[in-house]
Amino acid sequence: MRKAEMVVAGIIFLWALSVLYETRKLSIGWGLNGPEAGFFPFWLVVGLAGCTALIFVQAALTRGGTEPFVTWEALKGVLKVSLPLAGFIGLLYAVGFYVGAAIYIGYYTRVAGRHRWPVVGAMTLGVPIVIFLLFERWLLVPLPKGFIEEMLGF
Amino acid sequence: MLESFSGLVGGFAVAFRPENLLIAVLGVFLGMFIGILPGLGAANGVALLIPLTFWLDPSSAIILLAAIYYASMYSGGITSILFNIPGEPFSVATTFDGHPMAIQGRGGEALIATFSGSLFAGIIGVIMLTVLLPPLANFALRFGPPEYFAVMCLAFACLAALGRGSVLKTIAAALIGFILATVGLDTVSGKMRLTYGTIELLRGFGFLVAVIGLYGVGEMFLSAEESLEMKYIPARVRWRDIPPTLVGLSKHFVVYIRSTLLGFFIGLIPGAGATTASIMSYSVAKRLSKHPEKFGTGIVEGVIACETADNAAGTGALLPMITLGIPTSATVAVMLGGLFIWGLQPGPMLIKERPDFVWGLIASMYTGNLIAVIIAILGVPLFAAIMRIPYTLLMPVIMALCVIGAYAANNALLDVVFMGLFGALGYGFRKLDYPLAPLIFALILGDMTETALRQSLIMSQGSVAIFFTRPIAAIFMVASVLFFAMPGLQALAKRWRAAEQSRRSLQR
Repeated sequence: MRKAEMVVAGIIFLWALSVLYETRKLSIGWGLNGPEAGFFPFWLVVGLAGCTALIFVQAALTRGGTEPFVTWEALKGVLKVSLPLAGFIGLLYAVGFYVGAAIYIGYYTRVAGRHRWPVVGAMTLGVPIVIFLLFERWLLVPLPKGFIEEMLGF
Repeated sequence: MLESFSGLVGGFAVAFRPENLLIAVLGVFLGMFIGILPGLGAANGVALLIPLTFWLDPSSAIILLAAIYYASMYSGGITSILFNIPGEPFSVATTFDGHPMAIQGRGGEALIATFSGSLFAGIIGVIMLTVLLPPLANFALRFGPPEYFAVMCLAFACLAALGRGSVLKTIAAALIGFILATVGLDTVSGKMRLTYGTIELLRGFGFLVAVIGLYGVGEMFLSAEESLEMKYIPARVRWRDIPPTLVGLSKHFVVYIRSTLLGFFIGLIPGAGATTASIMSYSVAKRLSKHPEKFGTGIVEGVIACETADNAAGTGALLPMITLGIPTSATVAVMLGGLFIWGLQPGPMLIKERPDFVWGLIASMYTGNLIAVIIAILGVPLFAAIMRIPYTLLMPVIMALCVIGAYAANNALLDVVFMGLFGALGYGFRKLDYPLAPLIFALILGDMTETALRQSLIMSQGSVAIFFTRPIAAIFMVASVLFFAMPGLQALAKRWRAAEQSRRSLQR
């Protein structure tokens, strides 16, 4: 846990530095009408860098507990959820929401959920259709579409 | 008092409009689902629905969101009692006595206790809201930019003092939120900030995407760590059981009143929400009862104490939001964000300019609580059945809804990517005890806070003293400093006491 604390504090520290680099385009000082545009981002980032440095030092000084940040078992569970989600987001760019959702739901219910084919089929076809009727037709919220929908004329 | 009464009468005219009654019923249903399903919390649920409120009148939209909000507090207890799994964090204490009662076959009694407590707290809480709203709003009329900035400092200080994580992490989380809030176009100078040269970031980070990612996706990552074991004890509420059970429960009238008052006032404090209120109410009830050792074995007072307090806290939490524009919890912060999206400015002027909005909301909470208790009683078998749907079927659907929610706000696929990133961030934060609430608060309030600070400095021509020379602002600033220092002082006191003890034991 201690190492994870230090790593995360370090990551946030580096992110703060990168934001600091980005603020160099803005003027940091005090203008005629009060602080300039870059004033607050600059000092916020300085504050954040200071905080994370302190957190890092605090973590380094505490005598380490031996509990791991995350057990392998737990991590497997998280990956089973997060990797399909990442795939789904990628599919959104490639084939649009409806096809992507169908693939995602079908994959997840079959591979991770290990459900029987009728259930998988019902979900894979049913959920995108229900979402289509609910969001596109009734609530008029357009969702991203891919080439398949274009071919079908939507 | 007169102002409250006249406002409320007008509010009921709004609340009883047919479309608003329907919306309240819909909101109650949605809220109950959200309260039951793990991985779909109130903050996330409300955030998902905000894009759908674009085509609603703001007064109808807030009725919907508020209905979801307090309905989730009715149903959280159902799963605690029947499944020993809290549907929402504030229902944890209900499992202590509620589930043992179900095991003993008294699940129906526990459910009636839950719903009656929620109804009692809901109605009394709304009455207190009605009475306290005009005086507090009148007080807030004297607020200028320095007072707003000072009171926001106090809100963050409360989060730091009451949060579980270290003060450093609270500050770090808030700073991250503020930094993210500055991304995009700066309205004062017209310059682009922190966009890394991309056009997409010109818009900045919407809080909706952040909330859905942090609380929705992140929560599901977290619950993916362990497989949920469902031990189901069936119980239902039969209408003919209600009168005799209520007579039995009325013995504990003191618990109802005490928990309501305790919960309401805890709810007023930012950072102390329904969860804190329900746990504190349970401990107080245990300590003041004649048989504290029996708590945990199925004592109905335990159930009453938690569920009453969490509803009261949830209702009280709305008071600072409406009158001062200060959120008291993440869900309330999301509702506040909704106000901004609909073009409304929270604060004392809101009551003057849009009385239909404010009083319509309050009036709808009276009717909504009644609707909620009826649906809760009727719906127990339905909700229990939903809980038994395998999680692996529900999870992808919830994720798909989150994707839609993140996309719909701005029709931007990039927002969905951000949602995913926020999800990973939320998971990491939760694992390492970095609190999420300050980040959300800062993201939503960042613009307002910065504007208040800049305006104050313009007023004082650069001097920071303005925050300490104006009396109201000074009180808030001093209180903020104290609250920020509190955890450190507490740690010091503990160490001093331990040193004293070891010295005394050495002397013997």
